[in-house]
Amino acid sequence: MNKRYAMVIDSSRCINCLACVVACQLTHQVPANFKRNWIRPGPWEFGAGVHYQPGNCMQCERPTCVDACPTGATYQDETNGIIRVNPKLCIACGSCIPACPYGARFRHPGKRIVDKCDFCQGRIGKGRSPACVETCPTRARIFGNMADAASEISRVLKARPTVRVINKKTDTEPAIYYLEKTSPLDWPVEANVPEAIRLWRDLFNPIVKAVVGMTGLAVLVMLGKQLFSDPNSEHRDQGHTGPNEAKQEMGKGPDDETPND
Amino acid sequence: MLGGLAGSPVPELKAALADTGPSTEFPSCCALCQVRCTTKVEVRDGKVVNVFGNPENYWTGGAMCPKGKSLVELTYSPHRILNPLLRDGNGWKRIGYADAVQLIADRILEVKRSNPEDFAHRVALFMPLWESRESELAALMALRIAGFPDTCSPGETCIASTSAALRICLGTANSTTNMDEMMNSKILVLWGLNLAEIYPTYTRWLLAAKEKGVEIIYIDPRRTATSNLCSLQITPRPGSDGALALGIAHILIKEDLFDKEYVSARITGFEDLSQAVQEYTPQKSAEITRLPEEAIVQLARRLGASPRTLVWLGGSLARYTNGLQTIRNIVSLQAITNNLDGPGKGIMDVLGGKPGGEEEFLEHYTDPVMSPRLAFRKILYNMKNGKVDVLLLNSTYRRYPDANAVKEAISKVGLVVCRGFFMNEEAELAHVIIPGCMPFETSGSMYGSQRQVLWRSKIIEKPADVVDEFRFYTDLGKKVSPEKFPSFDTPEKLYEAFRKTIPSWKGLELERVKASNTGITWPSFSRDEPESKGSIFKDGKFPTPDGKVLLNSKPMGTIRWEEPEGSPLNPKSHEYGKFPLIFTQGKVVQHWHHSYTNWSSYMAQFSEGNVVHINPETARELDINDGDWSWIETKIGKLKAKVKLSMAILPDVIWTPSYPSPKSPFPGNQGVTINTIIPNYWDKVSAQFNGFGCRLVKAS
Ligand code: SF4
Repeated sequence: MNKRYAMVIDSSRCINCLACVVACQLTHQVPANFKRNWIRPGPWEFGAGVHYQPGNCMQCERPTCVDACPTGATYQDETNGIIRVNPKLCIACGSCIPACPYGARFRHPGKRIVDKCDFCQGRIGKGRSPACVETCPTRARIFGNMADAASEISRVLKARPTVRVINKKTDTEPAIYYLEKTSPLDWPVEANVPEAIRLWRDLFNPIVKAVVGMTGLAVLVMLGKQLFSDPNSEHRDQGHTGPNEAKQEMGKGPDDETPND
Repeated sequence: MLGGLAGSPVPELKAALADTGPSTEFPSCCALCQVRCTTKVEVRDGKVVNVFGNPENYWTGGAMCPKGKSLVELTYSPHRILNPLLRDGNGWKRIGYADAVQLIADRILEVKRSNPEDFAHRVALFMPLWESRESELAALMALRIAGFPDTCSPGETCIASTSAALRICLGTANSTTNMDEMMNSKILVLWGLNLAEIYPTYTRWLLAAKEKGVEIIYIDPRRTATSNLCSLQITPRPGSDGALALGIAHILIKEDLFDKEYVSARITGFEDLSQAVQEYTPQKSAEITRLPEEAIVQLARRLGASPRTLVWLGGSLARYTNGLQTIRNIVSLQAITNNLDGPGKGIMDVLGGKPGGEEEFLEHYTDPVMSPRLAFRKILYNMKNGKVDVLLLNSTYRRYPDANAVKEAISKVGLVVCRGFFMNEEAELAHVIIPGCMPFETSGSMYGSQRQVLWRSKIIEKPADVVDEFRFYTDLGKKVSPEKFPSFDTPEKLYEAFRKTIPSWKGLELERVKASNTGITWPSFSRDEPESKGSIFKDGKFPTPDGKVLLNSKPMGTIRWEEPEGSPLNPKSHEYGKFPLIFTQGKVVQHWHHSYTNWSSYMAQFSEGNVVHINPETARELDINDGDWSWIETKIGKLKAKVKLSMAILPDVIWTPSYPSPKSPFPGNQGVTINTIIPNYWDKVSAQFNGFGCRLVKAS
């Protein structure tokens, strides 16, 4: 039977220590200020103070970033549900960035791909947990296979009420479940998948794949760049979404063009 | 020129991490804080690429915090100094390590020759940190054997007042029990201890205790992430904790909620306490602490009814001029309610205390006269008066209040030797820089806040021309005292010599310590005895002169509470009327201290430079808005900080993070050293960093 990897997050345990973010960055060679995962502070609540909401790519069952990808680089791994990026196909066009309601996609500054969390595919293949899960001091993140009824995550999902964080207009059926109260619930933005890409992808995708197969990456990159590069896309990258909003709160504007300090 | 690698941190980091081939894991432990997370360090092609917590660690369960992880980046930082350097006019020139040591030794010997009568205070040392116990011992031996007693450790600005008060009252400067005893408590009080920020990897214990039904009471003026893990928070205004304790004692005694039998058998000075608390009626302590009377009464009754209470003290309590009194007042509460010894009881301090034996060991090699405890103010005085010729600046001078005055004093020293990693403020003052090793590059023993002793093995080769503390001080010691300096060639040999000399270390055999996943608890008189966890008072006696808790020690004066020096609420203070807000500061999770972490881009990404958090009510009164720039002004200076409105801060109080640095290469970490505006107030033992008056003025 296929696996279905998912995460249950107990926000009430999160102490905002940010170890999960650095653990992830080190594991995946992501430089500072670019993030595959994040912790979002909630608003001040009278009597309750501030609570923190850890997150990362929601590994959606209906992934809009996959819809937006013109080359088929972003795909769902059918064996386990993880949304992955094939670096050989990714042209770093950035279409997936506004297509993700959670702000989980970003251009990797050193790798020419639009990166994202893959639940530490390499580590879980070796029987370990994702880096963020393994390093969390309070075990706020529980990771596992939902398809296995005996797994810890299945037991927790069965025993305790959970919520998912969803944009009202774009329900992508995320595979991250939050225990207890999770606020704010409405931070995800509406997925923005350009119609042109949807169309183009439907029409030409098989050909693009064939081009890669025959003549290699260079052609594709050239083709992709001409067709899709949007001179303003940098701005959108660091715009209005999950980890970057957290970044905004760190005192940097959305238009900051030198995120590497 | 500086010997560092050129270029931005990103390409360099990639060089360290790029390959994804097979890697090997090595056991280690984190050198940055006293949690001492044991770790597994991932090495690929001779380079450290990642580090995770050791899942077998009893205290951490395999967690780590971001600081510890930043060491991977820092080890390969392009900003790291990689060669010994000698000041050359306004710049630097490279110098060989052997020449550098010779130069320093020659100068020290020259000082002795030309001042045969009074050379002792002309060479001083700011103690090394973070590398290992063996390097600390080597440094102390190098100086003391040559006849120089002036070595100052960071304790004087850290928790020295807590240690001193505990030593006086209980006969021990250590925590009286281990953290896991909280599982046996009915109430755990985190008194001024923001555990989530200071020791994030311990927080799982709070969650476990809470799940078990332990009531966790958090006393802290500021609402923090720790608040979310506790059952109740009490927010006395900063500096008033000692008055809160006396107010609680007042109710306990008045309402007969204390243990009379225990008091008469185990406490000296109870009468002085009951005398002193008479005036601390709920009304008076409420006035001082700005808490509702009812909150104090309820808290007292809760503590009075608890059969087992454990108190864990935060570091900040000691960073007021009334710190000694505050700690004694809190000890009194634990004493009269019979909560000092036994399961689920005790009093812990944040650093836990140092395993003993150091002085005893050193006295085998040096004169007993050579053990001054509090040396900083003496060294400062001597430097100001041009009486120090050589300063080994092994840790930051910025930890002291009025840091600019310390800087000025250091600039009068003839030869300043800096042992550091980056071109920081200390390097700026130096004449010679000998760069040090990162933790992955050296071996040595360490100790943690649970009195555990650990061994950190070298994992990778160091860059060719940097030198570990152990070797530097051994080399220097041999040159300045060729006849007398003992020949321990490696940290291992020194460790074993120490262990064999000190009875309480006998059981801590090197191989045993190396093989353990958590470290082994000191004391251990033999490897066959069970580990000495839990209450350290095993025989119904305290190690005080009369075996009882001493509440009325003469040198500490009457039991009392006083306004901190410079408090805006003290009519006699200089600040009264002019600097109406109460200054507080605090560590943030991504910074442990002034040095390492400021050079990490991963830590900088979460930092905001100089910011000041204030309550919206205070902001309204001052007509300041969120995001405005403002000047924090104190009696001695001012700095510019960005205003952040926060309900987590009490009205009339400001809070600012402790560790920005003007020299950090990353904007997030850049800022004015806040100790440059902190007035120089001390109690008998340690410096004050909070509680004095300041004002906030909108910057144009
Ligand atoms: S908690 Fe302390 S010992 Fe553990 S990783 Fe962080 S700095 Fe290192």
